[in-house]
Amino acid sequence: MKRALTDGSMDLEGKSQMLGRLDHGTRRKLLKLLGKENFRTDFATRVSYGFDATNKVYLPDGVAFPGSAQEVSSILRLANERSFPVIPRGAGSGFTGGAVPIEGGVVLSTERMNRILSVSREDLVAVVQPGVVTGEFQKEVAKLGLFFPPDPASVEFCTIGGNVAECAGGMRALKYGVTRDYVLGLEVVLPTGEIVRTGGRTVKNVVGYDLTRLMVGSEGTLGVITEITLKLIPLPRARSTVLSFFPSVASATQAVSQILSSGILPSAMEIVDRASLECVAMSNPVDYPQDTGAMLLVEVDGPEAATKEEARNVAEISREVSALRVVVSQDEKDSESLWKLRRAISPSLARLRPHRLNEDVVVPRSKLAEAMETFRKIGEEYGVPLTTFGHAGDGNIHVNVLYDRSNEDEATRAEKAARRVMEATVALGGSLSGEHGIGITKSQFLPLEVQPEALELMKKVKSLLDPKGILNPGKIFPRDKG
Amino acid sequence: MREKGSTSRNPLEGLEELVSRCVKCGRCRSVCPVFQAVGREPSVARGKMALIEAALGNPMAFSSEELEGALSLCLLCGRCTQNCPNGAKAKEAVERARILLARHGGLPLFKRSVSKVASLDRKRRDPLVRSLAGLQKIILDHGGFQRGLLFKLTDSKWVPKIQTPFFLDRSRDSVTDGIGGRTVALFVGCSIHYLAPHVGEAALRLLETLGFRVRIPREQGCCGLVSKAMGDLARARSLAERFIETFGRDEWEAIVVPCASCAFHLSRGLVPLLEGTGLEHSARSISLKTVEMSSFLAEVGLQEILKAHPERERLGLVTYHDPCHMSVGLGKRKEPRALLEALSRYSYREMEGADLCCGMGGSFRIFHPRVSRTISRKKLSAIEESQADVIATTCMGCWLQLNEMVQTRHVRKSVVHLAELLWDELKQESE
Repeated sequence: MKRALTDGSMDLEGKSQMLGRLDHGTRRKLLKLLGKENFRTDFATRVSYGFDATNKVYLPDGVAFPGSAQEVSSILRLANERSFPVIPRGAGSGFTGGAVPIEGGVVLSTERMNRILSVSREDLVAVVQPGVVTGEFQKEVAKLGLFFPPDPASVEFCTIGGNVAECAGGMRALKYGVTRDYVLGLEVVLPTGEIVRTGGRTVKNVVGYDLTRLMVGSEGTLGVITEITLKLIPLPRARSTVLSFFPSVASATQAVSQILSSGILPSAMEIVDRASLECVAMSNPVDYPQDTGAMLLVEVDGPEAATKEEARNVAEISREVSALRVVVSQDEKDSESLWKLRRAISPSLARLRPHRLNEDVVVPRSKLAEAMETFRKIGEEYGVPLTTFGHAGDGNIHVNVLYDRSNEDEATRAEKAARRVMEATVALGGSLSGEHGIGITKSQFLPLEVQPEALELMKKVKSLLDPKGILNPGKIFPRDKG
Repeated sequence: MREKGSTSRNPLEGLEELVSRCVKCGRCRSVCPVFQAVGREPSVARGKMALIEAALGNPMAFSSEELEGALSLCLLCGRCTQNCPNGAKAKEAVERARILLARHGGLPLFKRSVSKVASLDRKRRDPLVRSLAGLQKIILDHGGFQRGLLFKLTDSKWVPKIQTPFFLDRSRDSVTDGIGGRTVALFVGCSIHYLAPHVGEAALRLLETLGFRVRIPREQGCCGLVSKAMGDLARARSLAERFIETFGRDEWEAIVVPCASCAFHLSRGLVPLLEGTGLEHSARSISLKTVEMSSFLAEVGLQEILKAHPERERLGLVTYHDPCHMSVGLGKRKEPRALLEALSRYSYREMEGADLCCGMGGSFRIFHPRVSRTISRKKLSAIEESQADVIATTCMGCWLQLNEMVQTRHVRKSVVHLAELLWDELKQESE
């Protein structure tokens, strides 16, 4: 009668039977290992650990909350022995279904491993457990005058373990890089149960293969991260935000390149198209000029005097490039409310349509305006609402193709439009995903960008580390047909 | 059929749309006090949305206790709804799902009893509480063992003492006319009536000193928030009807409510409960007249009067605790602070974490004592770290919980209702 529990297109029962539901003995072993508080099979827990921010729900057979690398190791050894899938999960805030148990099995939540183990001001290094909430970590180190720059829009609730597994980016990537650039070392439990340490606590380290980088962004398919050594930098003393409204995307991107060529390296440059702006304005207070075609949000940081001067320059350049209105934040609170608005865009898109194909493509900066225009036209051509916003500074654009699943025709058109977006991106010399990863939502597009030989190599790495295919199965790689 | 055309008559109507608004982004994880205490997904808004969605799709998937248990783990503080970037109303969804659960599965006996006692009229409830008072006095005064047992059972070193005679028995209406004939009615709610008559007394005196004639309808009872929170729609509705019957007269310009939670329910909750019934119109007009006390006092300018008082020796520092129903529910933060800042005998100092939930959540404290305790711990450290000597608040639920916290943990600070401080000062000056 009502919408069924499983959103996915595949037959849940069939797939999970392939690997076998948890039998009585397995369940008892897990209960004995973790205790009944930390191994749950009740329906309420299973339902609420069956989704992530893609809003797709698949029912796991159980949910484990291990408290240590040893416990993670025991779970994985058992999974190999008994052949059930294990799906690592942080805060379940990912956008590509990386933490969703599409084949059933045990969701392994890192939420209990949530301690900051040490912060060294001398070494500029912190050691944390994977379940630490990134925003809380940032606040803690800021108290010591230190800075951990990666800031995905979900920073207030996502976990650092998930950030590392997906190689999260965020708005400051242009100046400060992405999560990868801050991971010095890891403790990882391999799919077969071995506990391995990679890297160390120094910025320079070229001893052996860079296993740390192999793990970062592996989307929970090569190992479960149980401890992370992070690089920190000194906290910039001040920041200032400039908000400007432009008549078109082209004029906004022109401002972007002029700001950069004037010698300013902003910590963030966010571009928001008209459609996204209208959307966020439905549930948040924003006042924009009628003729706005794009909004640009620029943040500069550094010593206070320099920051102020740079903000003034950014405002001036924006005005010169035909900005309709320019607002410079007066204080930290001002800045924060502007950024809150930016972070509210993505979730607010559900106001237009309940469902979406959420792509985070990247193009070379010079192609930004062309790409956004191309995407807009694709949306028009297929008659689906399509919004673009994103990190203008690094060419990472969030393209959302919106649709209503109950309208089958619209859903089909949306899928076609999304594929065209991907093709157009690759044609422009871009990449399919800047920071969300591939997961389940983009795996079909992988061959568009990754050549067959490279894909084969990736598969070999996966099967070398996870011969039985128990860790996060069904992710990244396109499903073989037939 | 009476059910037609009203969301309150048929809580299922629109529930699916309510839950489908949630896209599971996870932002609620960063604001939910219960999630931060429990750390598990079923306790946060998006988890509950998923559970309700699943239950709608497949009602047989849940045992009703399982769903009841998960959905009861919510303070109804409204932070998730307030902070949802997508405007999903999780609080409303939980309230409606609770109504459905109560209707289909029936309330557990304990909850049903609480709701039932709350909804009794004074004639039947007062004698019941009076006999409890007698029992409590015996235990507290004489029984070392029983006293220990009581404390052990409640996991606290402090239980609120039932104060006889009750407020509505000991108080009287104003005898003089108000200035310019201005008259207000006072609604006190259960906690003031039974446990803190001095707060009611202070509220009464404050209003009189400001020139109002105060009427206190004797038939008043519970506001109905407890019943509504449990999903006991029938009782919540009958209490709403009783409130309208008792207070729906024209002789007063406002109904002043010293407790923010009661005020929230009476000014925001009545219309949805009575929508589509013959009383909807009365509910609308009476809701507009019902006002939380400190907001009313600030509006009539009590802070200006206080500021005009001569400087006095300061007795210490005072700070303010934001009740969820006040700050999130009614959106009032400035008014009580404006009044406290105007005091001449205390200096106001903002506390870090003033808006952290105390963990009471009405009956939440009773049904989830351990979670409530965990939530309250953060508040307790905020209180300990503040330099204030006195913590003032505007909700009787918070007043109870904060008192219990400081007493049990031997924190040497006192917790008062805002009205007490205000009256204390006004009394001195008017003498």
